[in-house]
Parts: sequence; structure tokens; C-alpha cells
Amino acid sequence: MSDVVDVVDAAVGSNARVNKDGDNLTIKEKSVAHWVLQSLKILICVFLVVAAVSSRLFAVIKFESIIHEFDPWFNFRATRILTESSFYHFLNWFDSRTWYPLGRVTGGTLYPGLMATAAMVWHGLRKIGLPVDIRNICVMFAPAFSGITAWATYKLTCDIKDSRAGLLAAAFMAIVPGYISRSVAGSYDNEAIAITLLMLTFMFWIKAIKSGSILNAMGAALCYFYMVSAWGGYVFITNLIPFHVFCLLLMGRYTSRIYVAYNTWFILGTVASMQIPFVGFLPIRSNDHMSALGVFGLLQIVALGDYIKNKWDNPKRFRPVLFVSLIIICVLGLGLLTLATYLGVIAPWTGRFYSLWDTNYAKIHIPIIASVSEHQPVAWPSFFFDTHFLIWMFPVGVVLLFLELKDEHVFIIVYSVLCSYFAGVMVRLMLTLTPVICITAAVALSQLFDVYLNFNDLFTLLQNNSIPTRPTITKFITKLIVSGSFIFYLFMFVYHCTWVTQNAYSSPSVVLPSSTPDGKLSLIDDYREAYYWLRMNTPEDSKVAAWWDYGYQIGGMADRTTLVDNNTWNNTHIALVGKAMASNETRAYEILDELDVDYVLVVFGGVLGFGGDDINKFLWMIRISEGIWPEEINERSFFTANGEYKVDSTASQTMKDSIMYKMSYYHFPELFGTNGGMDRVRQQLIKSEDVGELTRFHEVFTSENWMIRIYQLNERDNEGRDGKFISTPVVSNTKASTGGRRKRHGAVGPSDLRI
Amino acid sequence: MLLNNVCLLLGVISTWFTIVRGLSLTGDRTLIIYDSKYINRFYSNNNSNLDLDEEDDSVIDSEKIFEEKFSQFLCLLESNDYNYKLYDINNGEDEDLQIIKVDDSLYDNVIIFPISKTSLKSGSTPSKGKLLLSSKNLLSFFNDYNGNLMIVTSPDINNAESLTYSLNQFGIYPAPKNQVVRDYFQDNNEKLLVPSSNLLNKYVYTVEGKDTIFNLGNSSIAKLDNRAQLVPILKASKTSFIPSNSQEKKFEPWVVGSQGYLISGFQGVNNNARLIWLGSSDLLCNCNNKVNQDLIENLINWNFNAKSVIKSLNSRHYHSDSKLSYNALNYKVNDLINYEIDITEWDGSKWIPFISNDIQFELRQVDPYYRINLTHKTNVGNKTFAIYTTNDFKLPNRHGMFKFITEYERNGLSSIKDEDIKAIRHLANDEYPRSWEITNDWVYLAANAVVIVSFIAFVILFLTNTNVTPLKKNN
Repeated sequence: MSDVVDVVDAAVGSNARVNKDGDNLTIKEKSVAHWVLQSLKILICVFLVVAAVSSRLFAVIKFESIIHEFDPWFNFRATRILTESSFYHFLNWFDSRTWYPLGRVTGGTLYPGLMATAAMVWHGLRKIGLPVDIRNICVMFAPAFSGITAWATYKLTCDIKDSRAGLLAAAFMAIVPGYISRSVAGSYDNEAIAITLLMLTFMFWIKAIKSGSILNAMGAALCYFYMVSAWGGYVFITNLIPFHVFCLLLMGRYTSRIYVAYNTWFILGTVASMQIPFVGFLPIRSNDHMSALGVFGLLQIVALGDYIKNKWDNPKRFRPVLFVSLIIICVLGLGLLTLATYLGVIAPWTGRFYSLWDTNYAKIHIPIIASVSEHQPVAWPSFFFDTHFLIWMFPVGVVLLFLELKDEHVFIIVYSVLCSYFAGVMVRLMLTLTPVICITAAVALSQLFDVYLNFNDLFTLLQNNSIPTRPTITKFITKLIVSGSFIFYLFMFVYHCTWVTQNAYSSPSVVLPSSTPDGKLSLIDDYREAYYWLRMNTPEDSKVAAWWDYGYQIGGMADRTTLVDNNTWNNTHIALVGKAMASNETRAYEILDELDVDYVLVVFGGVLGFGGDDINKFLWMIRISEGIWPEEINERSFFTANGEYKVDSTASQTMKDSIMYKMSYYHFPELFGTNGGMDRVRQQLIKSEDVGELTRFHEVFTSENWMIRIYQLNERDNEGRDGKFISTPVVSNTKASTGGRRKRHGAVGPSDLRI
Repeated sequence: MLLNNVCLLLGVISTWFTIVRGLSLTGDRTLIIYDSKYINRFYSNNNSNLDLDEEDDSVIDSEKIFEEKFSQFLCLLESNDYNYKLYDINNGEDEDLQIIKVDDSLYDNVIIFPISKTSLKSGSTPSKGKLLLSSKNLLSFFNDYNGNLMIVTSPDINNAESLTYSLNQFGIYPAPKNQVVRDYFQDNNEKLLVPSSNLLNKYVYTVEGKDTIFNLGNSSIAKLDNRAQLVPILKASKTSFIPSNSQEKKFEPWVVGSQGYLISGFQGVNNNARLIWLGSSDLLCNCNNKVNQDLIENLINWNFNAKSVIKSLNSRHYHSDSKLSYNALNYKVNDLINYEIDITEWDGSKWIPFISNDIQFELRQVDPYYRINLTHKTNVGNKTFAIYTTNDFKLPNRHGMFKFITEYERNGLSSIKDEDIKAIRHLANDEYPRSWEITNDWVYLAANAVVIVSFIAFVILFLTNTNVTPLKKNN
């Protein structure tokens, strides 16, 4: 409540400036102004929510109400299971239809926040007599939550500067592409709810640190718990808040407010977060959480020091004590940390953590992390693409915050510095950077508008009917130009956001947009065609081997058992599938048969020119499996003698022998006639003699545009022969071929004879 | 007519000797294909030196000669209720040779006597006969239509190519023309005598104490592939060899001594269809029937699925304690499970329990976690099948998809593969012991309680102790 009064006071204050002296306003006028402002703000907020939701509906309007991409398909499937059964069942759900034959303890390895929320909405709507299909709730989930995000950003920025900056920040947050990219309708992913919770947690934290209120800190802790239950990125909060406190301590700004806020948040938040099965004991074991624990300890020591200092007669004599104790604490802390890591009490630093510091680390050591496009470093243009002009308002805002540098400003500064770095390392973290860009840019812009959009002088002149002097006119023109150009920027921003949302971020990636020669939009629906075929034409318990990217979709759309999926928890199992894909037919058959695989699914873009196909991902399969079986899979042998990655006739024999190559190009050249077919992705000519025969697999399905090709494993040969003999037809040994009369009777025998 | 009378007589006699009649499990429709030119040349009484490779129309009533010379073999078939049909490759109708007709096979068993290359080429059905007896058709008959094949080749002629190529596909490589096996240590040089101790597979022919000697006459010999599906039945003696032939410039024996095989079987991986290759038609001939009859009967019974056929009827597994099946109560790690399987054997006329002590059960997730020898449940009396059980065993402490497999493959017996895939789940959150049930934990619980109590006590003491406030104010 107090902050609302603050804002109103500020607003009324600025109003007062209009009238030059506030005494002229009566109490009645004041309250009218208050109500007008208040209702205006509410109206603006409502409009912002409408804008936020509606701009995210492009996906539904352009395509249809469908779950997007890959991970959302799993979330959707999990949500369905949750709505169909009890929460207890969901919590202990053992999924036997993924990661065959290992299975996945899904209930214990997912963040249930998203599904639980969606299921709660579903149940709630049913209770009030609105039985909405769970799919529609999942599709509309992200847009709905983006409205709440905008509101939370507004509240947060109000605490940083004032309500004007707040409204601007909320407006930015509502439509900025960096956030929309993960929250369009159908993008039913953890991030959809997590950013909302991130903003809510920070909002409560800022309030708590400003007021020292246990209630707000508890709010932060609750939001933090919700965040932990929803997204693995909660670690960001776990590190940011302690870092903020640590900075404040270093700046000598220790107060009892910080003590109360931090202790409340840490203790409640940590205990609560440990209730999520997937997190479990991580908060006291994993190094990701050590900073929070360390700051918690440090804060106790600082509090003790502060208490002693207050008791001390002479503050000057306290200094050496402080120094000595500081050094002892540092040495002791570092020593303990090293010892605990060495003894294995706390988990070693994870690969994802290393790749945050060294962008090349993953590429060298953990190909599976590097293979995810989300984990690649950001290209510069994407900063502009995702945030438009906010990206250059962002440093201005940070500088402006530096000028004031209150406790909460330190938070935003710390946030922006950390996130800028991390976003530079991983594209994915662009998402967490976007809110702080919006906030700081809003601060900068509102500061600018405070000065340049303030035409009070003119109004007073007009009121007094006096002739404007020359300086006032120049001032007026300057103000007009500056504010005009920034309003133009704002207009451009809105235009850009709409365009980006419409064209770049609304594609479900399950259905691909393309255009017919006459310019009409046509949809390439090969994925669903293939998955539907699987669903309708294969036995319910058949196992489908495909690269892990398609695991969730196969599970969600085709409802068939998969070997690996987007929850990449078992690197070896993924490498095994990669090895099968990279091996020759006989070996691949052995591997796949051992895993009871019935069908192999490959994605091939050569006919259509779709770049994200399996041949382009093939190098990652090779690298990942080479990491486990370097003696069997060798990346070099898949390149030509010149070290090129080619698929035409110059491709290496290992490449041509691999089932991935054979399955992708099987009968592909014949599609284009006798001269061979041009692969439109790699722009290379494939000739029919390059593509070997398939003897242990047979093609069962190829989608309309050849994007998905499904092969079935042949039954074991009834005669128990080796792969290479099966396909060879019984050729007659003529005299010419064997060169002698005597050899006629089955002279061509295998070397493996029974003696 | 004469044949039928002889058969009746023989049937009566044979019932005295062999009590068990071999009824085929898979069917009795049998086709016997023979080459009249070959029969005329080697089995006709006037034994004129006709050259088979030359065109000759003086073949008279070859069917009669065949029936005469192989009457006892045919009787044997008849007495075992096989419904056979004779077909001469040189005179028959196309219709009869069609072993596969529009996605169905017309016969269950096909016996092919030696067919020369020229006969198949120039017989009455030159184009179609070749097509119908093509190796593709023969392989398809065996693989896709579960047909049983008996292929007899001869060392004296150029055997039809389609037959030898089919045999090659099964991993049997018969010697070329004129490489006849001889064993001068056994007897005279006109026939090949092989003792019954050379028999290799007890499921095809069981040697019972006394040694008999089989007469194979003019026999071919084969190399065998090292495949597990091959069932070597009769090997050549150590002392056997292939005498040199003066016509050949550069003679190279196909095999020497016991390297070669005289009779071999083959059993399909997926369908358990059976094939027998014989290197000699003399083996089946009347002239040697006295010594060979036992062997022939055993071969036919094995070949046409009248013996050594086993199958699993049913397998089930359930919780040992509650007897609930998987569907009633899913398995979780460390559960006690019992697995049972019923196995039965065809003895030629009825199903009987199959008794063996080497059947194993496997619990497998890619690699076997358990391999348990199955024990025969003798207390449950049943006349048609035997119940095998693992008794109680504990599921491994590992969740995932597990296969409950019984895989029983013995050379000569039909193979059994009984597979069931079930998920074994992890422990649910409330299935672990509670903290207070673990005695080690009492220390921590006590510490916890002490901290809580002392904190509350401290707060109470702190709040009620008024001495603190004046001290601060004084400072």
C-alpha cells in the first residue's frame, strides 16, 4: 500500500508542479486527480495485458491451436497424464515409453510447476462449469502468464524509479520479442511461467530489501519456491540475490533490513525448494547453490561483527579485528569449499557451468551440450532483433541507476552485468536478460521524458497569456524534437515487435510455413503426417529409433516408445543411437535389434531444402558417439580426403555405408530421373550408384515432401545368414563367371566352414 | 495295386517293430518330384547305358519303375499317413508342380529326388518347370510357407542348378559331379557303408546301444557352413575318401575323411521349418531298405515335424506373495516374482510333457540380469505338458523395461522363444522407510528437537529478561 501512496504522491507532486504551487489545489481536487491517475494506470495496465496476450496469438491465427516445437510436447503429455490421474501418480510416474529400455523416472526428474498450474487451471475451470480441453489451456498458457509478467515488471520498476518508468517497462515487457520468442500461444514451455515468477520474485525481493519486511521476504521465498518447481533456471535467482547482498555488504551497506530479508528468503526458500523431488538435496550439495549458503553464513558473521562494533568503545580499534577476522573467514571458507569438492561431498562443477565461462569448453568436452543450438553463443544482430532500440537504452539506464545507487539499484546493476555476460555465452539466456533490458531502458526513457516531455513552462505561459521569450521557444523546440524522435523510436519499436512476432516467432516448427509459386501461404505438414502414420499403422508397443530431437514429438504425437528424447539425461544412450546411425547396416542392425527397435525414423530435407535435417545433425551424432566409442566411430573417416563434409560421389565410404546416409538418400536419385538428384540443402548431386542397397531395413513410409522417412527392421533371416548375403539374389554361376566346369556346384562358399 | 498290397503287408509287419507312428504336426500333403531319366538310367532292370545328357524317348512307364524301386520308402510314407503325390519332371503337368499357388502352398512337404540339369531344362515343362522349381520358389516355400523340404542329390549327374543353389543358401555345399565317396575299409568298393556311430544328432536319430551299419550306395558328400541352424545328421567316416576320376585332368577332392557330411538337416530360425539333404538316392532305394529302414523313418519323422517338436504353451509371472499378476499390481524393484512356463512335446501321435533340466529363464535389459535354471514342477500332474518354474526370485534393484525370456534352442529340436516385456518401476515417494524407522536417524532427530526446544526457551528467556534494556540505554 505504501508504495501506491508514494507513486500517487509523486504523480500528484508532478501535477502540483503544473500549477506552480500546490496550495492552489483543494483536497477535493487532489482526490479527483488521484482517482483519475489511478484509473488511468489501471486502464493502461489492462491495455498492456491485452496487447501482451493478443500479440502472442499470431501463432494461433496464422497456423492453428497446436503445441509448438519439442519440449512443449513433453509438457503437454505430462499435463495430460496429470489431469487423467492423480497428483500422487504424477509424482511417482515411471515412464516406460521413453528411454527404452531404461525408462525414465519422469515424476522425479521434471519440474512440475508448469503442469501443476495448468492442471489447476483446468480443474478450476471445470469447477465453474467451463470444461475446456486441456490442449487449449496449454496453448493459451504462455500468453496468459505474459500479462502477469507485465504487471510484475510494472510493480518492480515502480520500486526502482516510479510509476511512469513502471508503465513503460511493463509496456516494453509486454511486447518485446526477446520474451515473446518463448511465450507465444502454443509455446507451452517451462520458461512461459518461469519469467513471470522471476519477475514476481524480484519484485518481492526489492520490496523486502527496501522495507525489511518479513512478509515481503516470505513472498519472495514463496515465488522462489514456485520458480524452483517450474524451471531449472531458478539457479539464476539462487545466485543473483546472494550476489546482490554480497555487493551491499562489500559496499558497507549492511542494515538489519538486509539481514531480515535475506535470512527469511534463504531459509524458507531453500527448505521449500528441497521439496521438489528433482531438486532434492542439491541446495546443500551442488556448487551452484554454494554462493547462497556462503552469503548466508557471511551475513551471520557480519551481523555479529556489527553487533560487536556497536558495543565497542572505539570504532577505530575495531578495524584490525575486522581485517584479521575477514582474512580468517576467507581462508577458512575457501579451504572448506576445496576440501568438500575434493571429498566429493558437494557435486563437482557441471559441464553446463563450465561452458558458461569458456564457450569452447562444451565443443571440446561435451558435444551433447554444444549440439543444442540454444547453447550456442549469441550473434550480435540477435540482440537488436530481440530488443530493438532498448538495447542501446539499456546502458544509459544502468548509468542513470549508478548515479542514484540505492540498494535496489545495485540489484538491477548486478542483474544487468551478470545477465549481459551470460546472454553472450548462451542464446537461451537472452530470455533472462530481456526483463532487465526493459527495466533499465524504461528507467532511462522515463528519465528522459521527465525532462523533455515536461511542457509545464508552456502551459504556465499559456495560462498567463504572456508572450514566450526566445529561450523558451528554443527550449520548446528542443523538447519537441527530442521527445518526438523518441516517440518515433517507440513507434518503430512497436512496429518491429509486431513484425518479428508475426514472422519469426510464431511458427510452431511442427508445421512449416512456405509459399506456393503464386505467393500463397502453404503449410508443410510432414511431421504430423508421419507421426499420424506411426500412430495408426504400427503396433502400440513398437519402438521407434530417431535422433533425440524428435523424441518428445514422437512420444506426444505418435504415442510410440522412443529410445532417446529431448530430456538428455543419459549421454551414453544417446551416443548409442548416434552410433547406430553412423554404423554400417550389419552393425546398426545388431545395435538396434539388441534394443528391440522396430522402426527407424530419419528427417531428410534434401527434397525440400529444409536445413534442419538429420544429415546436417549427423556430425553431432558422430561426435557424441565418438566420445564414448572412439575405437568404432571416427569423425575423420566421415570426411573426404580433403577434410570436407560431403554427401555426393566424393563422400567417404564410411559416410556412404552409414545407415543415416542410406536411409536419407534411399531411392532419392531415382526421384529425379537417371542423372541423379540434387540435394537442395547441401547443393550436391547424389547419384544412384552412391546410395547402397538396404538389406536389413525396408522403407515403410515417406512423407509427402520426403521430410520424414520411416524404415522397419527386417525380421531375422530365416536361414540365419549374414546381412550381406541376404539381399544378393541367387545368381547362377555361369561358366564365364567362375571359369570352370568343376566350380559349378556351389563352389562359392563362405570361408566359415564347419570342419 | 501291387504296391498297395505290399504296403498293407509291410504296414502290418512294421507295426510289430515300430509301435510309434509318426504323424506330421504340420500337414501330410506331400509332393514327390523325381526325374524319370535318372530313375531309368540308374534303377531300371535292363540297366542300359543310356547317356542322360542325350535326348531319349525310350522312357517307358517310368512311374512304375520308380514305384517299384522305392516302394518301401513310399510304403513308409503311407504307413505314416502321408498323402503323397508323384510327379515326374519329364512328364508331369504344370498344375501339379505348382508348390505355391496364390499366396498359399499346395503342399506341406516336398521330396525332391535327384533331378539332372538337362531334365529340368528340357522336360515336358521346360520354361514353367524351371520357374516353378526355381531356387527362389523353393526358398520361399521353406521360409514363407513353413514348407518342409527333402532334397536328394546324386554324385552321378549334374544336379539341377536351382537345387544346388538353394542348398548353398542353407549352407550346404554338395560335391560336384563324379565325386563319389568310398570307404574301402568298410567293405567292397561298390557301396558306401557307414556305421551308426557316425550319427551326430540324438534328436533326429537316437543310437540305442547296438551298432547298425547303413548302406548309402553311391553317395555324394557336402561341406557344411558353420551356421547354428544347420543340423548335421551323418558324417563321413575317417577312412572315407573320394577316389580320383580318370576323366578329370586336375583332380581335387571336395573333402577328405570326416570333414564331409553325408546327411544334413536345417531348421528355419523363425518358422522351425525343416529341410534334409541326402547325398544318395540309394539310401532310400528298396535294395538297401533292410538296413536303412530305421534311419529313413527317423529322417522322415524329423523332417516332416513328427518328432523332436516342442513348443511353449503359456508363460506367466506373478508376485510370489500375493499371486497377483503384473496387470493387477505392477512390479517394482526388489519385488519377489515367480515365473512359470509350460512346455510340451509332440511324440508323433499326441502331446506329452517335455522333460529337460537345461531350460533357462532370463531376465534381461539389453544384458541379462538373471539367468535361472528352470525346474520341473513334478507335483502338478499333467499329461500333456510340463510346468517349469524359476521358484521365487527377487527383481534387481534397477528400474526400467525388462524382458522375461525363455529361449531354448537345441540343435535338432524346434526352438522356443517366449518373450514378455514389462516395466519395473522405481519406489514411490512413500515406499521408502520413514526417517524414524531408521535407527541411525534418531541422533539427527534428537539434535533437531533439541535445537527447536532450546530456541524457544531462548526466546522466552530473552523476552522475559528485562536486564538487557537498561544496559543498552546506559551505553
